[in-house]
Amino acid sequence: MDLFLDALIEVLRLQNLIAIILGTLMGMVAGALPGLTATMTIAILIPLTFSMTPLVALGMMAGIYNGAMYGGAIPAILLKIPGTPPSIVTTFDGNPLAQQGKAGYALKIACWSSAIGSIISAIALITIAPQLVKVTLLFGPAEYFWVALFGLSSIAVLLGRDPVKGFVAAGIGLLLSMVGIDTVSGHERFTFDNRYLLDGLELLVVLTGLYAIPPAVHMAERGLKRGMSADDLRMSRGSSIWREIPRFIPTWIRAGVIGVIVGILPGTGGSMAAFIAYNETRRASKEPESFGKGNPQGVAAAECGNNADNAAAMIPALTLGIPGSGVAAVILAGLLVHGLQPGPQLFRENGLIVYGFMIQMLLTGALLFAFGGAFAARVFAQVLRVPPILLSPLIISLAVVGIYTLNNSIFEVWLMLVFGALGYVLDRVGIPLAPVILGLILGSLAEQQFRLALLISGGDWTALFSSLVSWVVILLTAIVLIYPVVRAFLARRRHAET
Amino acid sequence: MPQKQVEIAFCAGFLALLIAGWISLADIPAQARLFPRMIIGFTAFVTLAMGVRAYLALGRGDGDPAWKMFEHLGRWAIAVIALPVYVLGVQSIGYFTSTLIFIPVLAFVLGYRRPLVAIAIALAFDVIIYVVFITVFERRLPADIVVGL
Repeated sequence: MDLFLDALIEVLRLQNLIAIILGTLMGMVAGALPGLTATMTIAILIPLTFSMTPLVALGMMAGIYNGAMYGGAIPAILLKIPGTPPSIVTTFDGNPLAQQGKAGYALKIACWSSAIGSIISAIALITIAPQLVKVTLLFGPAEYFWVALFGLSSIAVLLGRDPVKGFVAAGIGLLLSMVGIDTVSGHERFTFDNRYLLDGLELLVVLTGLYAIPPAVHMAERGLKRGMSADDLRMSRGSSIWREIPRFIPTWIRAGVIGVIVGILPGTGGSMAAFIAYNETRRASKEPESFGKGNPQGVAAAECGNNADNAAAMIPALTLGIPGSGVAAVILAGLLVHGLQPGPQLFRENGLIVYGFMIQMLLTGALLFAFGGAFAARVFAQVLRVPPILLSPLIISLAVVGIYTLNNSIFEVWLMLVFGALGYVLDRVGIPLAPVILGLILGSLAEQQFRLALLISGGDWTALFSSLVSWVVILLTAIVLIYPVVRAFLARRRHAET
Repeated sequence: MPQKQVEIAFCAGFLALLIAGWISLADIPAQARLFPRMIIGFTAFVTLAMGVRAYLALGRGDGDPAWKMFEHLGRWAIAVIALPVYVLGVQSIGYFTSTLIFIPVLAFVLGYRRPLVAIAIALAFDVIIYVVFITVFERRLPADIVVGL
C-alpha cells in the first residue's frame, strides 16, 4: 500500500501529468486518423521517450493507448470509417445514430463508455497483476519456457483468422530473435558477417519497420488528395446522457467484465472484446432487432468492451512478459527499451514504476471524460481534414528520425526499411504482425530458459515435463492449439444444419 | 497475380531462406544450433502447410477475386523508390534539408497539387523535429548542409 501511495505521488508530479495529457491528446488524434493505430503511434514515438524518465515515458504511452482506443470512435461514428480496428463494432450503431442527426449524442456515449471501460480495466490491472506475479515465483526455467510457448501459441492462433499464418509469423519472429552472437557459445548466428548485427536486432527497428512503413506506403498508394470537408464533419451538439446513466450501467458492467477477461487472454485483443461485448448486449436486450439501426446500447457495449481490454492486456505483459495484444506488445517493448524486464523482478525492484504505470492507465481512462465530449470530438475530428497523401511522407520522416536517434546509426534506418518491406509483404499475404514482434521478444527468453533447464538437468529432456506447473501450462497450450480445430468443426456442423 | 499465387511464391521464397538458414548453422556447436534449428524446422513445416493449402485453393479457384497485390502500382513504385532516395539524402545532405525536399516532392509526384501547403507543412514539421529532438532532447542527427549541424 505504501508503494502504491508513493507511486501515486510520483505520478502526480507536473512532468508526469504533462506526459499523460500530451499522450492522451496524441492518442486521440492518432486514433481519429484511419490508418494510424495506437501500435504504430507508440512504436514511432518510443525513441522520443529515451531522454525521459521511465515513468514519464510510460505515462505518455498509457495516454496514447487509451486515447487512441477512444479516438477510433470519432470517424467510426461520423463517417462509418473505423479509426482503429476495434472501433469497427462502434460503426454498427454509432453511424446510424449520426445519420439520424445524433452524432453528438453518440460521441458522448462513446466517450463515457470508453472512459468507464478504461477505468474498469485499470482497476483489474491494479488488483490482479500483483497477485498473479506471486504465482510466477513458482516458475523455474522449464516453466518459463512453456509459458513463452503458450504466449506465442495464443497470439499466433487467436490473433488472426488463420492459425497457420499466425504460426508462420511467430516462426519469423523467433528466428529474428536468434540473430547475433549466441551468448553461451559466443558463435555468430544469422549475422552474414555484418558487425552491426552482432548484438542482435534492435526491437524498435523491427517494430517501426513493420508497423510504420507499410501503412505509409498504403497511404501513398491510395493517393487520397483530399481530407474530409467541413460539411462531412458537421455534427449536432447532442443531448446530455446524465439522466440515462442508470440505463447504461448494466451494459458497462457486462462489457467491462468481458473486456477484462478477453484482455487477460494473450492474443485476443480489443476487436474480440468489442465484438463479444456487443453480441452479449444484443442477446440480453429486450429489443435485439434495434441493434445495427442506431441503438445507443450498441455503442456503449462496443466502446466499453474495447477499452476494458486495454489495461487488462498489460496483466500478462507485466507479470509474465506475454502481452495480451499487439499494442501491449509495443508497450512491453517500451518497457524493455527503458531497461525494465517484466516479471517478479519488475515488481520487486521497480515497484514505483510499475504501480505508477497502473495508476497512469487509470488516470488516462479518467481523462477521457474531460477530453472526449462533443466539443473535443469536433476539434479532434478536424484532423480528418488533413489529406492522407501528405501523411505518408510525414510518417516516413518521423520513423526515420526516431530510428536514427536510437543509436545514431544510419544502418538501422536501412534495416528499418528492410523490415518495412517485410511488413508490406506479410500484410499482403495476410500474415499478422503481432506474432512476429512477440516471437522477437520471447525468442531469446524461450531459448535461454530451454537451455538453462537442460543445463541444470544435465541434458535430461524429461526435466521440461517434471513439474505440475509445466503440465498446467502445456495443457493450456494444447487447449489453445486445439481451439481452431474445434471452431472449424462446430462451424462445419452449423453450416451442415442450415 | 491472383492472391493464392502470391501466397505460393511467398512460401517458396521463404522456404528457400529457411533452408539457407539451416545450412548456415552447420559450422557452429550443436548446443548453439539446436534451438534455431528447432524453430527453422517448425517454421518450415507451417510454411509448407500454408503453401500446400494455397496450391489446393488455387486448384479449386478459391481466393478473393477483387484482391490485388498493389492498390496502385505506379504510386507504389514511386513510394518504394522515394524511400531509399530519402534515406540516401539524409545520409549525404542531412535530415532537415532532405525532409524539406522529400515531403513536398513526394506529395507532388503522388498527385497532390498544392505545393505551398506541402512546403509549409514540411517547414513546420522540420521546426517541430528540431525543437523536440535537438533542443529539448539533445539528440544528434546527420550533419545538415542547411541547418549546419
